[in-house]
Amino acid sequence: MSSTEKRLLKEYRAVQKELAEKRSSIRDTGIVDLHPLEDGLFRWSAVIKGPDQSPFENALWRLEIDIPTNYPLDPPQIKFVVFGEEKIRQMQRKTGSGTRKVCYKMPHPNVNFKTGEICLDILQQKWSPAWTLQSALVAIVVLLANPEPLSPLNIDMANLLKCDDMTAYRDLVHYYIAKYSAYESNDV
Amino acid sequence: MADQMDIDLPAPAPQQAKKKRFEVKKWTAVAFWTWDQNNETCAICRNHLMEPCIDCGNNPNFGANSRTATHTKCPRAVGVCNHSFHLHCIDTWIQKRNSCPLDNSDWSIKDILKD
Repeated sequence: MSSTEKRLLKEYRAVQKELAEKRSSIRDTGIVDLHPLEDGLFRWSAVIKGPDQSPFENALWRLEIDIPTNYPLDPPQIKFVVFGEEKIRQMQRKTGSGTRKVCYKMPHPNVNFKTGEICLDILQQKWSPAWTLQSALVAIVVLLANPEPLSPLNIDMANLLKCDDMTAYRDLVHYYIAKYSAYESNDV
Repeated sequence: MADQMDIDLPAPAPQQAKKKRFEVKKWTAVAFWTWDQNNETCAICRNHLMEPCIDCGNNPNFGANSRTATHTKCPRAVGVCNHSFHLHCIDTWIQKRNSCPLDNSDWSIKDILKD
């Protein structure tokens, strides 16, 4: 077992322990779920909740996490799971067996609308091995409430903020949440 | 009759004062200690700093011949920012970026502690 896997195993145990607690601090930070996928420790899946008092409040998003082989020296690659309109329609029709309703679009100035890619300095040049998957996810939740319109991946959303049009910004986010959420199927 | 009644006379005061009110029969001192460092866990591998790093700790040959020929133990490095890490861990990180993982300041070693 490589030292990367050993460290990931440590993180896994810590996260599972916290998630199992009824009243845990990990949930208060907006992390609903975080677990490795079945094929080992290098691909993880997470669910986060939009922070209170932000347009994203109470809605859920799924993220996929790819771990580089020399983690934690290199940052994990984290992006939002986004689907095309067609696929989301299909999922909505199926009324999946899952109980969690997740939004599959992320309209945010620092998230690529098509790919779900996130622009966040600590996931790139400001990364430090002292961060964990858990703390990186907390940073993403915080980013939702604190967008940075000066380094945008989604220029339209950034422009709304630059024009200080909070009403349009909030309504657009609510529109996407209402239109592109679906109950997830159990195969994720 | 009155002079035969039992009257509790006040005890002679000077003699009482000489007797100690308390006497220490046993005294047990208790002390706690921590290292004079800001962190006790290596933020890079998440092992305790008193334990070897994640690589050495799981190496069955550790102690006999660990990663470096000169060290049979896993020394700790303390930076000028007073954050400490396993020397093995911080060595691999500063090849990426010469900064303290905990406060992002420029990393330079203040001390290397071998146990």
